Amino acid sequence: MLNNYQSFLKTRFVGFLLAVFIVSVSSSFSQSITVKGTVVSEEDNEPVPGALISVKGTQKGTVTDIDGSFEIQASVGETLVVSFIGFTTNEVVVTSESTNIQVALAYSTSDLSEVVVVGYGSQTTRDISSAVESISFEDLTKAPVPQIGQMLQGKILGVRVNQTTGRPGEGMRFQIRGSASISAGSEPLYVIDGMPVSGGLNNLNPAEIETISVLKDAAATALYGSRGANGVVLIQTKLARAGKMQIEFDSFIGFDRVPENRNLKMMDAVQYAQFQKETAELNKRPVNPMFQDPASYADSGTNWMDEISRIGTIQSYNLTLRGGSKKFSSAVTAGYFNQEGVVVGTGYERYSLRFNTGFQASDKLKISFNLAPTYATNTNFSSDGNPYGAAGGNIVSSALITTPLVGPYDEDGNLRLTASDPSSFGNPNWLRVAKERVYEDQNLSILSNSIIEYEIIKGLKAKVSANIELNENKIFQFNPSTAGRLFLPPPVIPFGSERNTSLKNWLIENTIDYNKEVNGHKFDVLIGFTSQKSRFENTFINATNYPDDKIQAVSAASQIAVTNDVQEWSLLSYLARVNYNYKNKYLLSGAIRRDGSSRFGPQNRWGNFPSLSLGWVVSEEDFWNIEAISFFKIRSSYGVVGNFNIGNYAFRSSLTPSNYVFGNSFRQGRGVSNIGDPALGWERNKQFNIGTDLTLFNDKVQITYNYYTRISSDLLYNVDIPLSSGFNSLQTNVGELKFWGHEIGINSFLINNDRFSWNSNFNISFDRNETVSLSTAGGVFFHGLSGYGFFSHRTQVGRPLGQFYGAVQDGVYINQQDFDSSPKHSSSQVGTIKFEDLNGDGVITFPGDYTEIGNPWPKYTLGFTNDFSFSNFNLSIVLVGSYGNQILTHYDNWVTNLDGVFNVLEEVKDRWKSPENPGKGLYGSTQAGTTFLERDRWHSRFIKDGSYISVRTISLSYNFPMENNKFIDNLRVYSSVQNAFLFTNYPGTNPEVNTRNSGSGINPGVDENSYPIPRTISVGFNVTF
Amino acid sequence: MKNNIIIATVFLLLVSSCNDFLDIKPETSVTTDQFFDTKDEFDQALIGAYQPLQSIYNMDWVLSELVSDNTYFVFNIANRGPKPMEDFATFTLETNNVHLLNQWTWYYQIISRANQILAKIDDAGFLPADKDKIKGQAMFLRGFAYFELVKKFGGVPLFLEVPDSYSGAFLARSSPDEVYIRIISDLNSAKDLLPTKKNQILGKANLGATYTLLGNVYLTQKKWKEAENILREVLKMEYSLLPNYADLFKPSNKGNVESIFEISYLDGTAFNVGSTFLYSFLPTLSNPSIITGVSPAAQNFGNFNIPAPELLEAYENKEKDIRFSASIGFHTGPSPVPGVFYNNFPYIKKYLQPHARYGETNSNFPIFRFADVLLMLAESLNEQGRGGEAVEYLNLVRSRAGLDNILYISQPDLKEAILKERRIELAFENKRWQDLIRSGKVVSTMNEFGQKVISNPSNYYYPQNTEPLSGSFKVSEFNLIYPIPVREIIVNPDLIQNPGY
Repeated sequence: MLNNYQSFLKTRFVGFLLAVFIVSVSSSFSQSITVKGTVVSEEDNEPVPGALISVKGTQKGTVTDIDGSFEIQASVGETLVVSFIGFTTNEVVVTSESTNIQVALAYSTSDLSEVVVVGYGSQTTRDISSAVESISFEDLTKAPVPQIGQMLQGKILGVRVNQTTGRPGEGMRFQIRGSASISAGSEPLYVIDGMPVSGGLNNLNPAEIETISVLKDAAATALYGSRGANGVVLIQTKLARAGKMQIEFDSFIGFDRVPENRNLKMMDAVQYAQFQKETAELNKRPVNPMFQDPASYADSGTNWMDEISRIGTIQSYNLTLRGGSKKFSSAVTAGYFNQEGVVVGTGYERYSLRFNTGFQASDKLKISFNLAPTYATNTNFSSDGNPYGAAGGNIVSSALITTPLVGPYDEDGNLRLTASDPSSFGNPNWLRVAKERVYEDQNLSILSNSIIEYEIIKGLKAKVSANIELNENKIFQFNPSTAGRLFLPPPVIPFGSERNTSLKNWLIENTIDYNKEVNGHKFDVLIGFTSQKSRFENTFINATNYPDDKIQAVSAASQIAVTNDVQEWSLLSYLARVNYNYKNKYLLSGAIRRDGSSRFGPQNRWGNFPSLSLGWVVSEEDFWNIEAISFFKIRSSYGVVGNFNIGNYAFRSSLTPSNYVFGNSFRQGRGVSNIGDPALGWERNKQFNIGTDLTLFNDKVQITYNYYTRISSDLLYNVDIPLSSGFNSLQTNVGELKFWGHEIGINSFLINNDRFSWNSNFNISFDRNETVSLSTAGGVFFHGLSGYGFFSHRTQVGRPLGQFYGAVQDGVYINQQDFDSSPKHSSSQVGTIKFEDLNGDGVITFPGDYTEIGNPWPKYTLGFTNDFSFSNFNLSIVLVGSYGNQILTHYDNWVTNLDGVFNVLEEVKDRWKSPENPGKGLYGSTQAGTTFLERDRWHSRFIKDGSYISVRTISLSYNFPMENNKFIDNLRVYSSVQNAFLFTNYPGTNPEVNTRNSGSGINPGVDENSYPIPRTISVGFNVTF
Repeated sequence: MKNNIIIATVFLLLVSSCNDFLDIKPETSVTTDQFFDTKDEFDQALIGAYQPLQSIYNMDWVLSELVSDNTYFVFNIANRGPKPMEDFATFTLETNNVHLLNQWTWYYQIISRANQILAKIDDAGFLPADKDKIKGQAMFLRGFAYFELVKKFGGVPLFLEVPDSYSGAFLARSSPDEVYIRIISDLNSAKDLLPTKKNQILGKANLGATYTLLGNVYLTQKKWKEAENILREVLKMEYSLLPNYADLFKPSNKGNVESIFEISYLDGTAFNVGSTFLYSFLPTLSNPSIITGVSPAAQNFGNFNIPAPELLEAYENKEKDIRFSASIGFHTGPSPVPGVFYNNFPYIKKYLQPHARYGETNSNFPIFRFADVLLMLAESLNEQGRGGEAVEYLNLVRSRAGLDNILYISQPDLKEAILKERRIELAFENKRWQDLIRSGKVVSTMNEFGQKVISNPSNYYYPQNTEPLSGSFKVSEFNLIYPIPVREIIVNPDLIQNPGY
């Protein structure tokens, strides 16, 4: 039970809120005439419920009911401002006849009066004093793309959306304000219709979305308390709206292809045979007859990447019905999406349905139900990362390094079993692997919201919502005898597995909201209580030693091992917010959330996350007389949010199964697997934001600027400790990080006339971070990839976190003289890689001669969108870019392997061959046994410039004029090119890659080869009846 | 109206239940605060402390046999993945060697789990007699692990309790003497607590194992008299030589009269508790079932720990010595390794026993057996100048093998004879490297061995026109212990690396 102190606090808290209510309720309304009216949609003349009506220059306001009608007190001569999400704002001057006015609203894109969804409510852009970005469906649907993340690339100030892999249906990664991952997650919190979901956005049908808001600073995210540190992405699905039934059908097809210059350039058959010949000669081995005459392969040879690639296809169909009566309205979206990936065997398919309904039971009671089942399947077997994986290796990396001298088919046109030559150890035929390896991922998810809203008295609303996210996932794999892996050529003993996971995540929220305006003082007070629980169950059946390929079910295996896992967490929260606004000039918003989490021990279970923001609309002041600047707001916020992303049971020390044998009996035992830390405390992010919004030159230009700082104190990190302690790592609070940055967004509507318009949106972000203090040994800790015994990343006080850590290459030992006069490693020889002797001790040692060799964080990132409309044509071009970051190309380890066991990059032909022919100083000798330093030590040759500019999307559409058509309201045809062009010096396939972002700990900027990002060309149409 | 507000507020309060909602315990793992109370729980914790032994002895041959002059490997130009294993054989070890890191990790897991038991058992509520048995085993295991660590790495961090905080996880190295003092004190405590073999289930530490281990510790320290005294105690126990040498390694003979301590494995379960070392020792074959008889089978990763020519020659009489055919097999046939054809190719046969599944065997790994005790005793006597007594124990082992007795001639001759007998009798039982170190001849022996490999690579299974890497076999004193895994040095700035690495 709660202890006394907590009870005391709670009593006081509730008492305060009660007092606020009572004072508010008992105050009287001001004296003025009653304006009555209805708000309708300009297009179809249907009522618009829920529209905001405010009296300009005051803080009086109301909302239309289900009939679109409203009633408001106003004086003659005052102006009513009528606004609603997705519509342009309209203004009406109150006259003495204004007893039954009709206000028509037109659909629109963003402007200052746009109503933006924020946490637990909505606000107009002009009233917001925190850092919130929003984007509406109109802006999202210019180009057809499979994934939501792709729609948002380059469009939102301060939000970086990277595509880390081209696997169908996967790989979009959001980073808000350069949020650097240090604990398990840097992903923002995703909230769909008020429900924070666990599964991310991959399986959400983009067609279901109405608006997306991104909350960036603490004042905006404080109501998400312990989960707000990395920002929050709020998604509002298509609302049920009363009005004429509208039917919208949208469909597109597309073709995916990997651009030729976006594959790594490997040696062709001639170069490869030459490489093998020279390697044998250098090592004084006899040259195998197969490599004796490289020129004979001039017209043959296999490009394995091409063999496992194909032209992918995309199909998308969406049908949306929207409308209803005053009592009952609904919005239904049914979608089907199918993508065949560019790698043979991969693909993604999704069936989705969303059913949003609203039921107005009485004037005061409104009930809404949203139900969204989605069934998605994919066949994306392992295709990202290094080729050495025990479970089957990753096909992209493996295919790249397979000998070009052997093709997938034999003389009779049948698929070969293996693809090996005399120099390579046995490899499978990767095309056969792609075709015959079975991978079936089936995912059924249901998201539902039930919402009851009751207006107790005017302005005072109680709302109860119950939200459930259910997810059932099954992944079945079967590796037949014909599908081996690197070093393990078929036939192999068939193996398989089945993973079943089930997620139940529920949230109940109770909120009371009170709106009140007195003499220009407008209050909006919200208090709430929420409870959430999430339970994840996972059962894994590992099946090995199948007798043959005939039956694939796991029960056919002769050896079966079952493991399972249950992960559960719960969260109890109290929240409160006050928005205050005086005469549209002075804005204040204060919020607090108190979270209790099962993830922390009893000593630190509860955390408080307060925030405050202030805004001043300078242009509303009487003294403001600068004509060119029609709107000028200064705003600032400060707040504390938390980071929720630690393991569910991290503070507890636990035991895991640890078995042995006594006699001839199997004995089940247990071993302590981690050191618990009952004092494990919350990581607190203190965030400060100051910014301004400006509108210039008759609303032609809008400028937004933000400066932010974020101090992460008591940083939670699973830090490596000496293994001699008996443990590998310890989850603890290790130190303090500082993040800061500038964001500038410029929206311009430069040309806008009947024939032609040009809008552009430019945004640029400068994000920085620094390690302020660390409690770890020596004020430093190491992390990242450690497979070679040395860590790839170092975080040190005074430096940005996660810097690449390694030796500095200084060419190769060109000749004996160079060798004799240079510091050496014990394995160095003439021709091998040369490193700088950084500690000056005359020899090369590791990590003695390691240092910081690169920075994975960009100096700035930008997005630039241009829209041109001419007559009924619309052309949109989206550019995104990143400058100044570096990438660790771990793939160099296998694609530049000098042992002659793999195919290698074409540029390896310019390696050291002899003192007379020393190459370009990048790659060393192929002398057996001298090559591992080049490959297995982190060094500066792995570090590549990751800057790029990408023409992400070019889309063109045409709207058929339909004014006179009785059946069709709107018909649009469109086509687009996604990933059109990429300008970069980065030699890898994708500068946005981070193969290792899903791992625990931080490994920023690592490329281990991933599924290529295709260029997509699509055409489609959209029709509304 | 006010009532409505109050009702709503009360509703808010009602839902706010207590902290029970937030107290969620893991369902698939036990937390330590719910554990370490009953005998059953301590039994489970003890099983957990034994468990790393299985991983250790699936790979210990790399650190203890392959490194010696007993065995070598087949160089495969197309698969450089096993280089970390080859580096032991060619003396080109690097500080990031994965096998050193693994062994280090596993030994310290044993130590940590033993420490956990010893820290908590006094407060637990069950019979003192039961506690003693558990404590004795925990001390045996901790002593065993520190003994292996000090032999392999020199002085190491001496953890005697489980750290409960970040700073507690950092310890500097203790001196080898400090580690030995703790080992001897742990084993002396254990021998007062542990039952004899017949009162202890097979696989658990018993009195004989503790005495033998302690004797081995003294022998390693060259405290010959102490070693003799302790080992003589083992003679008084229920051990004897098994008549047929080959029977020692049969899974059906686990815990035979000669066995003192062995690492237990079991095949056929769903829990990966079978042994795997056999498959490293077989010739690499597209289909290893032609040797194992087990199918289905896949290409295996063998060709390691291949008996070296020196060892084959060390058998003084291959016909009479029953140990030759019991220990070593030969294979002729094609190989998937580039440039290799197996022509009467030797491989370890001791552990090639019937099993059901590819990659998993039912063979235990012998740690101490009675023949080893007899030879250790002979060595400790001979070193004290009592060769006449020593030779009797040596001849017990020889006559079981089918060889003639030898006579005592001189102390150095007998020392040589005992070393050679240990080499044959305990071949592939991971004794040779430490025996060579104790003999004082390890540096010269391994340099000679290396010169032979370098000058005639094909005798040592190198494919045509391949040879050891330059820089191989430069053996000196520093090679007697291995480098501390570099990860530990990076994470803990207080650790000083061994000289030479």
